[in-house]
Amino acid sequence: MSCNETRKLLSEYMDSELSRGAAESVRLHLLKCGKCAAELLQMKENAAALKNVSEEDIPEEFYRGLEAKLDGAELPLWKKLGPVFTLRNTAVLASGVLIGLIAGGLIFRAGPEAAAKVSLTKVVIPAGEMAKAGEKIEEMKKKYDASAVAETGSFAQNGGARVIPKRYVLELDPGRLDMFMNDLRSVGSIRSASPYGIKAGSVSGNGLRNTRVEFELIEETLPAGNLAPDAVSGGR
Amino acid sequence: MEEKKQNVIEEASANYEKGLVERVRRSKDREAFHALVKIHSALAFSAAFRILGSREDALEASQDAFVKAFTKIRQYRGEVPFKYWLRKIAVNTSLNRLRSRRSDCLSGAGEIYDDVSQDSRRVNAGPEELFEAAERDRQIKNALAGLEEPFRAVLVLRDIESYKYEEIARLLRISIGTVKSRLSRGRQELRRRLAGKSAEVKEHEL
Repeated sequence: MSCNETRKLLSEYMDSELSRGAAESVRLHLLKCGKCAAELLQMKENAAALKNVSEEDIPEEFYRGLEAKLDGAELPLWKKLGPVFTLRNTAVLASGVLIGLIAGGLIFRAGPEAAAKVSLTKVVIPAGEMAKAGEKIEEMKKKYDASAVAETGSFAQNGGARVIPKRYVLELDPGRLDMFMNDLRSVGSIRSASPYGIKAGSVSGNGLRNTRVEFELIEETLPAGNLAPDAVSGGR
Repeated sequence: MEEKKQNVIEEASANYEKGLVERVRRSKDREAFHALVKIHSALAFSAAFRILGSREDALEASQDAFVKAFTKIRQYRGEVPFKYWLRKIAVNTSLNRLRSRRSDCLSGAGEIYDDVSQDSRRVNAGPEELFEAAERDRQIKNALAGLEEPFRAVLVLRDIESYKYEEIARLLRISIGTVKSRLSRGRQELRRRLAGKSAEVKEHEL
């Protein structure tokens, strides 16, 4: 067997994929040809080196992008809460559910109906304002978004991390409380923060008996390498 | 004693990981999933990068792999360690991306070219005196990145991901004969690239 013929078979020989006869021919050639034997040795060494090749550094954007994709893959929180949060839902209007409090405001996440994969729209409502259930998201954006951003300035990129802490007080049907809490906890990029945690109590007003939930959410886009798993804290 | 300690650590981390997987399975717990991502992100990204040869593509592919893992977590039955399962997803996602990139020839070729040059810039910027092992690592990565895509893909699947010839043929939708010839050429080419000047001298000596 010539060197050229042998060379073509070295790769399969190395993987023990040759027929017995062909393997034997290669072996015989290798015994008398130092050059081909050296080549095989190099190939084996390279394969071993490939196997142990070091891992790449994770690019900065990895975690941010993943967060966004996971958000897209999951039904967004506010959408899952459908009956409570859908802006067009008249039941919400009836109980006048959402009241932004303290220096913060409210972040609405709403998306086009049907599709599970929606791009989220965020609307920040300044403190003291109230969102009405019938309001269209586009109108709300026009009405509140610009002023809220100007006021808090918290949308500014800050070293790759964007932090938007907001305190919420929410009144909702007691029957929906469990579902709401679960959904709240399932949203990774949103977490409750001390000292408030999540607390729930009972309130009544307007003749309706609702459960009052207070919580603070911090929505942040974390910088790479800091994908804090210390998500929602606070008891039920 | 050391070995025993090692075993305990391994068992504890395996249990920790199992717990995380279970939490994701049960309630799509994003917090637990984040912990899993942190453990395995480099693995998934690296697997994607070696196949795609472009950081940008690898970023997308590895993210998509994690999204897939998250949404299909129920398909993971725990027969193999989580990282093998994840790695398989990362490889598959990357190969899909490779295929779709191929149909868009212009951008595909450009990206590979860009990235090879980017990679060497990055390496050149490093400290001048590297340890031998790190240098070897750098060389083999560069040589791999420099291979043409069809050869690189086969080589990665065989020598890094340890797939069998038949599996590679199925994954890449090529015949076993093609797997063999590409692997042979890829290995030869890699050898040539790595041998460089010093090995040429050696060859002359022989």
